[in-house]
Amino acid sequence: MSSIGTGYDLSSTTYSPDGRVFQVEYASKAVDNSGTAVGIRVSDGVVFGVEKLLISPMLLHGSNRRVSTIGRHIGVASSGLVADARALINRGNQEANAWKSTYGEEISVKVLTERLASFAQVYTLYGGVRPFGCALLLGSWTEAAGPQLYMIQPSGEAYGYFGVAVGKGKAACKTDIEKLDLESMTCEEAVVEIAKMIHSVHDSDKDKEYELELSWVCRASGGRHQLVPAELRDSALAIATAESSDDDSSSDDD
Amino acid sequence: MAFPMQRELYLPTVPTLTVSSQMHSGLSGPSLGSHGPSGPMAARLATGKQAPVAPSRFSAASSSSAAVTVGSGPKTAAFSPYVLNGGTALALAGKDFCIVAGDTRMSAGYEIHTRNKPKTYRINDKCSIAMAGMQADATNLIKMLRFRIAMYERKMGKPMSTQSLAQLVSTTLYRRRFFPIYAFVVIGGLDEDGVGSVYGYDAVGSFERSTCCVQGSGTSLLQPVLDNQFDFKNHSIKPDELTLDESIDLVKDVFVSAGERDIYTGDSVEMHIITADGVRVETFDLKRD
Amino acid sequence: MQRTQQPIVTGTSVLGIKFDGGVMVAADTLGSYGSLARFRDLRRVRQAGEYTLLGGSGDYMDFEAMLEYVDELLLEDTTLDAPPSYTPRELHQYLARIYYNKRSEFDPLWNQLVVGGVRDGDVFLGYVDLQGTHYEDETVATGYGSYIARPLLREAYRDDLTEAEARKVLEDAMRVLFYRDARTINRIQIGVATEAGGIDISEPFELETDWTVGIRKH
Repeated sequence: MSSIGTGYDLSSTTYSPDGRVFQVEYASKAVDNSGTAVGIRVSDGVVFGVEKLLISPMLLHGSNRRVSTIGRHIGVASSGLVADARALINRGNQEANAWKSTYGEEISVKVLTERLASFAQVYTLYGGVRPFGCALLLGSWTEAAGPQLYMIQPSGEAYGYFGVAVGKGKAACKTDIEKLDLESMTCEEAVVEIAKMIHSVHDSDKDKEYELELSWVCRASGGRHQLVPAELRDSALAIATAESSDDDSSSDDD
Repeated sequence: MAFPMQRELYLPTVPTLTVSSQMHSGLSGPSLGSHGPSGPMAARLATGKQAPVAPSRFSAASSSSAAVTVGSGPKTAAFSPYVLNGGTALALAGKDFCIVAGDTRMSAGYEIHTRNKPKTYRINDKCSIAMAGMQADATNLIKMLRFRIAMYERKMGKPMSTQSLAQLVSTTLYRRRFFPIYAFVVIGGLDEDGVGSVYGYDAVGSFERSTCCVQGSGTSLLQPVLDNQFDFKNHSIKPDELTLDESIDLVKDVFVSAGERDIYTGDSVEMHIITADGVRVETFDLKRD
Repeated sequence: MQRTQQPIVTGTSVLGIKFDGGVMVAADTLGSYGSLARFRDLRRVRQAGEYTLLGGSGDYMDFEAMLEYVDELLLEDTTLDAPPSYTPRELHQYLARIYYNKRSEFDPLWNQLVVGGVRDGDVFLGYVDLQGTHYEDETVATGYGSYIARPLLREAYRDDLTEAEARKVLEDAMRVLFYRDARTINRIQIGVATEAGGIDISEPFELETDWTVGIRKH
């Protein structure tokens, strides 16, 4: 890496001569190295899928979740350093509570995204602090605003998306998402698509076992962020596994 | 004795025909007794009739004579943090046993809140506490005590003795000398020698060891009877000390009698019988009128 | 600091009764401003979490503040795959602690609350007030209801009371209160909590009344 040894990567207080802040870029690397996280915005809600890589076969199923909730109505899928993500999510919960006690209604995901992005950006300015090594996907569904999906990066940038993927398998997932007809798709269909994507980008040779976390916030869940019901999750996973083994056998035939 | 004895504090309040404003005033609007123009201030007209005879400065806030004039506006009955929930608790100490008992009625004014709220609390195999007075303060007190007893047991690796508990209760009450805990405690248990012991308190922690102590709304009825029939005070010829079974019968008798004359005592009695074998809990019913 | 020293907008009685398999809570929708019938649609039977009914009389803003305290507590529970953690019994104890601590700071929440609900077969009905007094019982009533309606509820209560019977008992008691308590309105809500049905709070409705008893014939 060109940055190494130049001294410009030791602190985010100093630009490199060509205008880069290396500490922020390294933080993005932490995100790129993590298990894939996908969020897609479809007609009736937002669906999240996370490939949670299991660091040990002794882990309790469902522990150390990478999907979480801010308030009750905003779903968050995180990638990168999960501990960093949790700090950001805690901040998000504070913002959501403060908003609700002031205005008596839930904070919108747009406002929350802006505030968290500003919060994350502050950590790219000073010595003695380290940028957040995580990216967050935030989504919500309300009757008035419909589905909304945003992503916050370690740099403090945040954009709204129709579909977004981060982590190891993001390139392949993005290609897959672009092929989908998001406008007409329902959340139930999206769950299957996400399961397929995550299953296909998971590199079972190189990586450890993974647990598929699926959650949604949609019309059916009443605008609340919830885990996808176990039945639907299992059937989606079964479809994904079946398809990939079909692919394997067909390639064998060739 | 620097502090007023609890019996002085416990002069029974005489209920009046006015529906107690403590019970409903703010809760359902102005009091029944208010006259003249009403408005948002109407509720303030309420005058507390059901004033607990609470210690010192707070008694003013809650008694009927406490209404104060604010400017030229209507009279205000300020918030009182105290209510008297009535009920009777007692403890008797024999040579090798102790009985701690309390009725289970919880009242406020003319209302019976519930017929099943025991006033007795088992502490360990050697002692129990009973409390009358204000239910919320009493509940809070027992929570504080339970916490400190648990800390003691963890540190010392043994259950707290009845004597130590007696001192702990006193200091816990006295810490709140200037915002007293409106609860009247009696402890019954076995001391280090296995002899029955009873400790009685006032609201701010004054206490003494005795062999029989009554607390709460039935005090003035039951204490003299027990002095005479359990301790045999004023008997020129002392009969034999009561046995456990005779003592249990006496407790039942005096509670039945208190239930006849005291409207705050009734429904049922929970009795902790403490012997070398541990604590046995018995209950018996009183009239529910 | 200014503290609540008297209630401003007030709600009158709340009634609660257990029945076989659940609890039921009733209140009218009037917010009184002294003797003025000021607000006609204040909902005083509310839901807290998945399992708990909360009915409140006394100061309406304090009641709403209390609901926010409870909501903050429930929001701390962020687990995605476990059912909400607080049982009606736990919420009742939590509220008793809040109300007792507030009274100890001389900053009371000026309410009498009815807390009811079912969780894991445990049918719970309890009471909390502005002094921190709290208890559980088969029947509960606040305000004038504690004088006028509670005896009716106690008389009617059986442990095999059906839901329909309980509803009739509450409606009859609310009707009596409407006749006698001048701070009522004939527009009530009844909330029901059962294990199977969760929480169901009705829209406000009117009770049939008959005032002929009060008309003097000359």
